[in-house]
This record gives sequence, C-alpha cells and structure tokens, in this order.
Amino acid sequence: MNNAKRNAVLAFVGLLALSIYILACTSFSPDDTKVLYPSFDVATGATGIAGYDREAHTSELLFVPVGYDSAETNAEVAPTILRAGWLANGRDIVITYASPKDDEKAGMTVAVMPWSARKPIKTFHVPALKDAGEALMAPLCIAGDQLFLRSSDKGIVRLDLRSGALSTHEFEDAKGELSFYPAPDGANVFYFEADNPSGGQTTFGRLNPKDFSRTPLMVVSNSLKEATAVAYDTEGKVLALLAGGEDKAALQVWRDGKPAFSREVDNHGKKRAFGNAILAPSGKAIRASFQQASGTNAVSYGLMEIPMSEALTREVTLIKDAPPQDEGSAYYFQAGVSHDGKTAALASTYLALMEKPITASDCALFFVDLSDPNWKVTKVPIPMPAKLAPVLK
Amino acid sequence: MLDIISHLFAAVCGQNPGHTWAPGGLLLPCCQRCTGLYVGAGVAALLHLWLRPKLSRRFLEVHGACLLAMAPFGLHWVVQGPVLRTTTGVLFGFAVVTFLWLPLSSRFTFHVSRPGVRYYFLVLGATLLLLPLAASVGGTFAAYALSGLIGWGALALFALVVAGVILGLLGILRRMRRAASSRVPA
Repeated sequence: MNNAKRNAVLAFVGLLALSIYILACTSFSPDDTKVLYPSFDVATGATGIAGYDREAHTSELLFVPVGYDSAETNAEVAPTILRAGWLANGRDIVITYASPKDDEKAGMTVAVMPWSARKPIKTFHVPALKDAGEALMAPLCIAGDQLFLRSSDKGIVRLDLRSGALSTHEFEDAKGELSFYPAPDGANVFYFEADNPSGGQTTFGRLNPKDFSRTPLMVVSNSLKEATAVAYDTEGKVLALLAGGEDKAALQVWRDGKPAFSREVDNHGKKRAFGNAILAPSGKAIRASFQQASGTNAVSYGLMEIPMSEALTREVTLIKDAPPQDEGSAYYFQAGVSHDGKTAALASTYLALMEKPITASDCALFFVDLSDPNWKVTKVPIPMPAKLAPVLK
Repeated sequence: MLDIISHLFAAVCGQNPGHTWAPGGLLLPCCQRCTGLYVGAGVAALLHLWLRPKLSRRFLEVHGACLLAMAPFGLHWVVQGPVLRTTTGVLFGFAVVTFLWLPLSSRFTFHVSRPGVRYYFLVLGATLLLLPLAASVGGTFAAYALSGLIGWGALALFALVVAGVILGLLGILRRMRRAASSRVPA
C-alpha cells in the first residue's frame, strides 16, 4: 500500500471514530443518568426531592420545603407532596409542591432550579388551583419551558418558567371536565375531555401550548373510571387504558381513533389497582406500577408488563406484606421509565407517610432492569426520619 | 452567547449537566469529554499548521493508541471522574485531527520538522494539565475562553472533514479521467 492510500485509509478511520463518538455521546440523555425522586430530610422530617446518579451510585437531597400545620409553638411539620421533572434543556429541574391538607382552591408552588450550574433558583406561587394536591398524582405537564396546571374543571393555567408569565384560559365549549398530560417528548400537551351530557365518552386530543386550541384525536367510547391508568405515544396515535379490579384487570388499546385490542388479566382473586402506566418503546406492551391485596391484612406493590397480545404478563413484587391500604395508595407508588425503556424506577417514599406506613426497610428507590430476562431489581434505601406525620389518605 | 453555542452543540453532545464543567457557574456548551475532544482538536489543528511535526510511523502508532483508548472510557468500562473524562477527550481529539490531517499533509508539500514533534507533545502535555485546571478553578472568563476554544475545535474538525471529502472526490475524478483517457485509441 502506498502512502497516499494509507493516509486515505487512516483518515477514514479517524472520521469513522469521530462519527461513532458523536453518535454515542448524544444517545445519553440527562434524565437517564439522573433520577429525581421524593425523599426525606432526616433533620426536619420533611419530604423533599433527591437526585440519584446512576453512574456514580450516589444520592443527594436537592430541595426541601418545610411548612407547619399551625403557627403555634412546637407545631408539627406539615406533610408536603412534591413532584419533580426536567425542563426540555435537561439542565433545569422543575419541582412543584402543595399540601394535601390545602383547601380546594389552594395554590401550588413551582420551583425551577439548575442541576449543577450556579444560577438563581426561582419559585413561583400559582394561586387558586382546583385540587392542587391531587394534580400532583399525574406527571408534571411540561411542554418546552412552560408548565400547564388545571385551574378549574374546564380551566387551565400556563406558567412560563423562564419569564414567570402566567396565563389562564377557560374552555367554555368543553363538554365536561378536562385533565392535562404531558407528551412523552416533553414538547406537547394532551388532554382528556369528559363528555358529560351524553355520558360514557371521553375525548383524547392534543392541546396547542401557544393558543390553547384543542385538536381531538380520538373518542373513547366508554367513560374513564377514576382508577384507570392511561398510556400513550408521542404522536397520540396509540392510547391504552388500564383499569384494575377485583378478579380481573382490563386493558383496552385504541389506535388511530379505533379500538385495536383488548384483554383481561387474571388477578387470581386478589384485587389489583394501578398507579400509572407507560407505553413500552416497542409500542407492544404496557408497563404499570400496581398495588395488590395480599390476603385481608396486607398489600403488595410492584411493577408489571402487559403485552398487547395474548402473551403472558410478567411482574415483579417490590414490597411484600405492607399494611393494608385502599387502592388509592397505588397512586403513591408510580413508575418512571428511562428513555431507552431499559430501566424502571419506583420510589416508595409516600407509602411511608400513610396512616399505616410501610417499614423502614421497604422505604426505597427501586430500579428494575427491564432488559434483564429476570428483571433484576436494585434497591437504594431512602433514610426515614425518626418521626413522621402520617397523613396521606 | 453561551446559550447559542450550547444550542448548536446539543446536536452533537448529550450535554449531561452532571458531566459538564461549569467554570464561574456557567455551564460549558458540551460535556467534559466533548470539551476535551474539541479543545484538543483545536489545539492539535493549530500545532499541525504551525509546527508541521513529522508524521512518522511511531507518531501515527501513538495517535492510533489514543484513538483506541476511547473505547474503554467512552463505553464506561473504566470508572472515571471529570479529569479523566476530559483528558481522554483531549487525546481522542489530537488523534482524530492527526488522522484527518494525513491526506492534506501528503497532498501539499509542507516542510516537516523533527523538533516539531517534541514541541507538539509538550503542548499536548500542557493541554492535558491546563484544560481540567482551567475548567475546574477558572471563573467566567475561563468559561468564555473555553467555549471559544470548543467552537474553534469544532470548526477545525469540520474544515478537515470537508477538505478530506473534497480531496477524496478529486482523487476519484482524476482516476475516472485517467481510466477514460487510457481507453481512447492512439
């Protein structure tokens, strides 16, 4: 080989190495290496948001709001529900919190803080939101740099997290209650609109984050029960509804506006409720966190995968023999899945705040390796303070 | 300005905030390893232009090893911190530029200098030392200076890739012409 050929080959090797490097570097998104989860501040006993670094295997408490039940001396630390998410830039964290004891029209506080840079931490107080505490049971509805919150049955509030501009909008033509969910790509907003006059129908559609215009995508012909978990894809073409039940759980899948698949899952006589559901990246299965009765005096919590076919389901139990709770406690044990769909993370923090709390050994951040044939579980303990106010119901 | 550069680099870097230097509290536009890569590439391009080190077999073998070293570090087989991520990026940047430089160096009659090699490796060593130092203890000036170097490195890499592609296409055209003329009967 002469020098010119050798140089051309080596230059090609250099170009190939550079291309591989760039492709590999961009595939690692920030939220896949860091996981935000609710934790406790042992010193104050208050709940806060912690960040877990999956590469360094370390956790650090990032944000702890402390409130009191009254202004009296020795007042108890009030419980707070927090929900955290990433801004689209992957560098700033959005944390919202409210007290579950707040009035129906209480407000919600929103904090925007940088992950690692020295920048101001901004907090916004959004007044007069309907069921602010309940709103935190669903993922934060963030689209770009804007946060969307439900202000009333048919109203929405848009908070610009950069400028602080607050806009409200009332959907006067809405047929029933509206609820809002974030698109998986963090750029769009989806809505569910109950059809109250005719009953039994719910519209699923896309909300324009700029002008609040609604584009219906499909009408689901049976009304959503309160205990139904929903999952959808980025484009809103696939919608899955997952409902728990005494003997059987039911999965219904709608594709391009039409019913595409349904199946039942045997609960083996043990009542099951779902916390949340997420569509697998393949689009062929649903992953959902669950709570299941285990006899009359205990419940268990775990994660399950339900294929959109008659294939066998799979599940892993993460907490066994927890004190009995009603099915509402499933909402306090929700799963998040990494963008590559290979890892699920679930925190049991709020289950420790129940009237009958879980034990300290069960209070943990669980990672489930979904790419492992045996769904390998890694448990990161969440330290519990000596004294907790049991409040969540 | 940093926001614009950061937006541009989002296309080629994961920009993991936990793996990004923030001198003076300002996040650099790319992660620690990419910072090493682009700063290293920028410095290496300047050195090849200025010192014209002799691209001997030994010189290329050393750079080949730097290229291969990215595999265990880039694939996270080795436990590493910010400094190691940055320095492996620098070595990778030097190696990529050297390999992309090869077709240009043979194309044009640059003079080559043997002492240039010594200074080349001296500056490489200085970059390995000074870059993590500036990124970790520097203030806002360091943030802007490093962002500028990162931008320069990316431009240098882009220019080398474009030049290499043009040279490659010219070579193919010349061969086609030669083949065509050899078929013309005398």
